[in-house]
Amino acid sequence: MKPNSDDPRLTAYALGELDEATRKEIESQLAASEADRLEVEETTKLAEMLTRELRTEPMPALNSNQVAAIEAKIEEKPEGPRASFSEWLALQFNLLNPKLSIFATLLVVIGIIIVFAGLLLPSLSKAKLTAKKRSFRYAELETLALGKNSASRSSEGDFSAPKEPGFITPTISVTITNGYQFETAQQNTATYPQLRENSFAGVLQHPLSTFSIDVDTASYANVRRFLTAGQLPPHEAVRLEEMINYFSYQYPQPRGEDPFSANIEVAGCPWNGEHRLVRIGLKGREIVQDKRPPSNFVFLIDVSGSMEPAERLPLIKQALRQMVKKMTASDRVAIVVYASEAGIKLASTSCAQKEKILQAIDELGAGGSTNGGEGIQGAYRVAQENYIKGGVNRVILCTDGDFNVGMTDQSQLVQTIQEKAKSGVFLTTLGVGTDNYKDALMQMLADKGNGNYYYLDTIEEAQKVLIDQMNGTLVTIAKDVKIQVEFNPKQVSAYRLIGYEKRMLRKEDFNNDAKDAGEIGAGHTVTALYEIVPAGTEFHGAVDDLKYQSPTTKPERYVSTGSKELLTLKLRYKQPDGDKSKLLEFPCTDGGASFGKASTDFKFAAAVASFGMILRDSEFKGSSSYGAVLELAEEAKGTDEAGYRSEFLNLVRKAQALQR
Amino acid sequence: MVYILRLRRNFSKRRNVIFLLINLRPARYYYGSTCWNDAGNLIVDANNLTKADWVHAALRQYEGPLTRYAAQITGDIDRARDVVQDTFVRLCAKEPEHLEGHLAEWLFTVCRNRALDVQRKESRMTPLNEIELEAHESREPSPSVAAERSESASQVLRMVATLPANQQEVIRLKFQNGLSYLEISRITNLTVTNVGFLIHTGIKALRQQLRVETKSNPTI
Repeated sequence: MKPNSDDPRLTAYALGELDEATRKEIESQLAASEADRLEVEETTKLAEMLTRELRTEPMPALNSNQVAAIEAKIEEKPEGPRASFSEWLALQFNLLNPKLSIFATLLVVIGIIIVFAGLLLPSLSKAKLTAKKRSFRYAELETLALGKNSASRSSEGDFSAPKEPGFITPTISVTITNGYQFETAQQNTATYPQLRENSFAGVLQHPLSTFSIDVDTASYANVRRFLTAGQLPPHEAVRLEEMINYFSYQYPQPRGEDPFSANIEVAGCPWNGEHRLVRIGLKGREIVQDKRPPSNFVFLIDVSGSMEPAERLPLIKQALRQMVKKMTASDRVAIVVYASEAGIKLASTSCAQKEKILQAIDELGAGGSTNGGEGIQGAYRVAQENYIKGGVNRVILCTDGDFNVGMTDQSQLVQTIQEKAKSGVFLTTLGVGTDNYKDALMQMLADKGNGNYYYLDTIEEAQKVLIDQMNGTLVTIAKDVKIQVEFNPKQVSAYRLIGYEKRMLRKEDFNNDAKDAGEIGAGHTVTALYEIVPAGTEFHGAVDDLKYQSPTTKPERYVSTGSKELLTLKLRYKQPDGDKSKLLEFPCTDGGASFGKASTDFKFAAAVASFGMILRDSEFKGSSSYGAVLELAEEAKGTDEAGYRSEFLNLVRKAQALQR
Repeated sequence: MVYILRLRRNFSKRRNVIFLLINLRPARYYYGSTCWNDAGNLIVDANNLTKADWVHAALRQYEGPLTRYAAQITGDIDRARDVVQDTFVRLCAKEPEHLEGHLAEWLFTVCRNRALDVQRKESRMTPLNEIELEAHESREPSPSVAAERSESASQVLRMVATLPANQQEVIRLKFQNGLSYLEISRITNLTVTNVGFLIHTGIKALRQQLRVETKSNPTI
């Protein structure tokens, strides 16, 4: 027989796809033909090679939002195991073994059958069928062998326990992986630091409240991203101070030599009629766009493969282009990229040569894995080489935060950044992307690098952060700004700082100039809210009253002044290039204004806080509701030229619709 | 062989089941009533499997292969992900009993149909703005371009990329995903003979190419 290489049956035979009869037929044909045997052998070898090689092709995983969306759709069977009759019986009779409970079902079935008589046989066989169905074995699923454990999908896995009381240290899980395992491990690697919400503190036990200011706004943009995608954000992603500080408020410009003004307003609390709300507002001095000091910027851009989607590198490129267009000839820009290898894409170039800079931005393309560590060192080196004394020196890190190759030791990375910050080069982190987005890492890097952190979800957000508020984002006017509030126990029985959980400081840290704190940019506003339980209002803290001290005698020990003041606000700050702090003090008395009499900005900030508490499902949300938030925010919208407050209203409506 | 002993901590909570595993390979990970050992193998008590466990297990096993498959059709990973998300959302509405024995076939069929829908819809759409344009530029290259570019990919993968799309698809289903002719025929709506013929033709072409390459470059 002549060789028949064009017979599909030979291929099917080699692949084991033939039925019994055809297989026998081909086997006898093979016995007679050497060429056919060679044919089959070659096909078998190729099949093995194909199987091996094709399975190395990358398998992209779903991102965490998608997995969450799927999980939300899982409907348990209506006759689920818990609701089944046999289960109920097992509960009633405390039967240990589910088999016994099936047996019990059988017994009852038999009982019913005896009562109704006559249909014994068919009913029994039906009962057996039910039992068989219950012990259904998902045979296909029992042999699954993918190198992944369940912990990476469960929500608890990524968070660390608090290391010291009152301050939660975020841990970031960094996955060092390769090849196809890397692809698998990508899912649900978006990490958020765990926050324990500030609770009420009794003024007698804790008269001082100390924290670092924070002008980050990333949480709001992230929350917006979730809501726009039709999903309620995870509780950990909602940080109240970042929500409140997303909006700018009309505080007066500072007078005198201090770089910022401090403003305090007290009124009723909208979500708890018995409580008062105190708003502390700082306003950084505005700088006219043209008066910005000469700037030395180094864009450190992640161009790894994960940056490819439109809302990542292309978004960053578009934003940077707009930013460069607004720069003046006294500014300098350098571009350092990092992927598999880090390199200087554009040496520090004067903005007199804008075309050259724009071209370098255009040429950026994504590909390769990420070594953020080396890139950061390179960027700081370039920034230091071109340091402008008295100017703005800043590294702007643009990434989805996925550091997966090289200097992946977090503490090492953070230490590097902390050292570099002392040299006067500050860091801004711009986060993009959705899956495997390292919120916690970005936040920590900016924090340690004397900088701020923004999440860019849309080109509009990039416009707000980098163009409209360019000076605030890039020009630091005071650093290590700390706030300490002393409450008067005659007026206040307990207080609660809303948000700022990750910014809490110990009371001793306030006067310790070695302790790092937040920076304030030109024109920035910083807002903090305290919810206050007035003296005389019944307050039950988390701890019982003391046995050996009578609460009625205690105030006398503290209050010798008899002051009517509600609180004293103390601020400490350093000049951007200084290392000695200056102290400012502002006493405040409660004028007793009702919430209705409060300023519009006060009302709007309260609405944002209330919304955040609903999203976090806070135990302190009181009577907060979407309806109330909408009403408040609508009333306090003001002129809203930039449209941010209207957008907030839309987000509240979206969340309201999602909650239903 | 794994032996599972169950103790109930709380009768009213079916999920609080303590597994005691008497086995050489210690089990490490628990999720509801599902349990994995440290090799990543799923160890389950079939009686206790909930619908959620079933969907999770299916996700674990098939999300990667399905996304890879959908990306071949749509030419875009993000769209492929959307397609796969949709596929699993549909799976959630199904009962395990109904798909017993043909889960993979069902998933690939639904995934393929969705991917084709998306591809048809997308090809009618035009980019809206600059961002869109840039995204298009960086999208998956066409098969022949991909074949030229990916020098790191093995020789045989580059050869597969030069085959006609329908042959590539059945070859991937067969060798990459281990599906049978019959399953492939149901997924692709072709007859079994047709599938056999496409695979045969593809393999023949690959073998010829391999022979040519081996002759011109004996080190391979």
